[in-house]
Amino acid sequence: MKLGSKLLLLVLPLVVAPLVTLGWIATSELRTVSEGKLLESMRSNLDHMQTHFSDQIRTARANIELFARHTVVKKYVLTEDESERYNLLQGPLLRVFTSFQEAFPQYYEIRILLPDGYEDIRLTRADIENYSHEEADNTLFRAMAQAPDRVTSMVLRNPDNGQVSLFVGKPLVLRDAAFDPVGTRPSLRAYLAITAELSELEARTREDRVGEAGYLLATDPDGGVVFQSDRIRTRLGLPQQVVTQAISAAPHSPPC
Amino acid sequence: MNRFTVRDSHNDKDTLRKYFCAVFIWLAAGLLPLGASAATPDATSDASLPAPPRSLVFLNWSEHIDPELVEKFEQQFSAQVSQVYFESDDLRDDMMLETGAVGYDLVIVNGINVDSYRKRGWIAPLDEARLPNLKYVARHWREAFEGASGYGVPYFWGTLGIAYRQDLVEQTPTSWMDILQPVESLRGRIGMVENSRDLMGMALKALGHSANSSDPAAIKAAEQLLLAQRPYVNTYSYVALNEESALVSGEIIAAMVYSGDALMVQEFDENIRYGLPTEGGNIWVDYLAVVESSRNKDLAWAFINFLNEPEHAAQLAEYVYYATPNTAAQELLPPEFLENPVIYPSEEALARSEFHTPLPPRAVKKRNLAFARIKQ
Repeated sequence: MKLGSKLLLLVLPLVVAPLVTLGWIATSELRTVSEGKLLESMRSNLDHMQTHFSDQIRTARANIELFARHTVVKKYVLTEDESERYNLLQGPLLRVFTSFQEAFPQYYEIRILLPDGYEDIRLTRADIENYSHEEADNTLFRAMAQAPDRVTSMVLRNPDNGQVSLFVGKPLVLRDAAFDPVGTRPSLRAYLAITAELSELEARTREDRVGEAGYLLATDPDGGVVFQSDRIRTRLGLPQQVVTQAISAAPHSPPC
Repeated sequence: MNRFTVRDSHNDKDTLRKYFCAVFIWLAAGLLPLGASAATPDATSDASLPAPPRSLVFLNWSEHIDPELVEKFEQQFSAQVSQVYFESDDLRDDMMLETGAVGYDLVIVNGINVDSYRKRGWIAPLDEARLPNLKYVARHWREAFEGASGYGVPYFWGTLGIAYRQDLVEQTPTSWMDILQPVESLRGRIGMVENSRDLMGMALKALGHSANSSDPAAIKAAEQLLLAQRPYVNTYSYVALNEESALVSGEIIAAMVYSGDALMVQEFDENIRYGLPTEGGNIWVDYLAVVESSRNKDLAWAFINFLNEPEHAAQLAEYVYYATPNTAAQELLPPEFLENPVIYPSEEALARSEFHTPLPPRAVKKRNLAFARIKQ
């Protein structure tokens, strides 16, 4: 073997090996950085969404407390005579609900449910059908009936329009100061319920990106797709195991 | 010796006696006028201070009473009448509900609502002893609505029809359908009323049903008709009755209007006409009622009685262009008033029209909800 060849065999590994090592280290470092950035971007997106969602729930819960204190709402549910209630009080109450909806357009449905689950009033857009007036078996109604002293909120699919919405309800436990004897304990008269659009959450899930090719997907606790990115359309949800892990890893649950 | 530190006890007793006497005389002098005013409420202790005028708060439609008559009453009874106006029967209900009917002495109530107001305890039963002029009021108008005769005195009656600008409409509206399924030129130029019974009732009549139908399918169809009409509607607020009215400016060229109001606004533009549609309209009666919580019931009854003096009732009718239920006043009205078909429609036109009648509560509920969706 010529001396030149021997030198080449000796020098080449000395040059190539550090270069390959350097390349590997750089690639590995880049991957870590890029993964970190992706995770950071994802965390930021999710934090933002969670903050927004929590705020929306908190606001809706505060608003239902406020709505329930309105004099016309109280007078309406305290009026037992159907004829008087519908002839004289329902019109003013619907105008009050309309003004609530003008102030908070996201509350696309406001309802009064009687203690037996009958839907006494439902103010919503004209294009949304009402498939049932009997709500006794409805998830929200059952939850409200079990907790008569507090506001209940939950995310459910509205059977009337198929949209995933935020449902908030409050039992109206009142005493009629005009007729009830002093000392009478307040009793359950009705439930007030509002249904809110989750359009902001839906829009963010649809439009937000995670890095170059990442996308967002919102699922229900069973892993079924609720909202998804415009970039991918799937009917497949997340495996139950992933959802369970995600739920258990969540720092705190929203106040549903 | 310091006279301020060492006192003569006898002198002290004298001083105290004088002091108590002075206090007693002062108290007696102060209480005397109070006792006198309690015994005779209208008397004043000092002739230089006039007694404050008694006052009435009257919840009324705007332009629904002759101000000259109000002034006459105020002078005759040393009273002051303040009017609070409402724009529609529905909005009057809101006002009454808001205050629990406190703060008003007199209210104009539409016939169909008198019974609900009675049930709610908002209006007082008629004190017929204080209403001698009630004898002039036709019995059939007093009894036109359930519960009305014992709680309200008929004020006027009239119809609900269509007012239009004959110089601006493409074709004369003769049917409710002409404004409910209007031609393109009426887009944004129709005025409707903010009253669920009237709005739904006339849509039902246009579709061939009774204005008092409680058939869910008919109510649904009426709602669809009114929803489709929405782009053509300029406003659901009642048209103003002065020279600034949208009917006078031409912003609105066809509107659902109560008969006499069309004649009142016609004073500002003679091109304004009124017609009772071929399907007929609504016959309404407004009642004067005294609010149960009023502290001036005597004065309120006096006011109602004053308005029912035949010459006063006739003057009122001529001012507002509405038919009076006061039979003695009718005899004082000029023939051109009595023969005006807008004020006194023909028997035939009245036969096609309807009073609002009580509906089953669930039907009222359906109509209210439909109305709320239309107004959204």
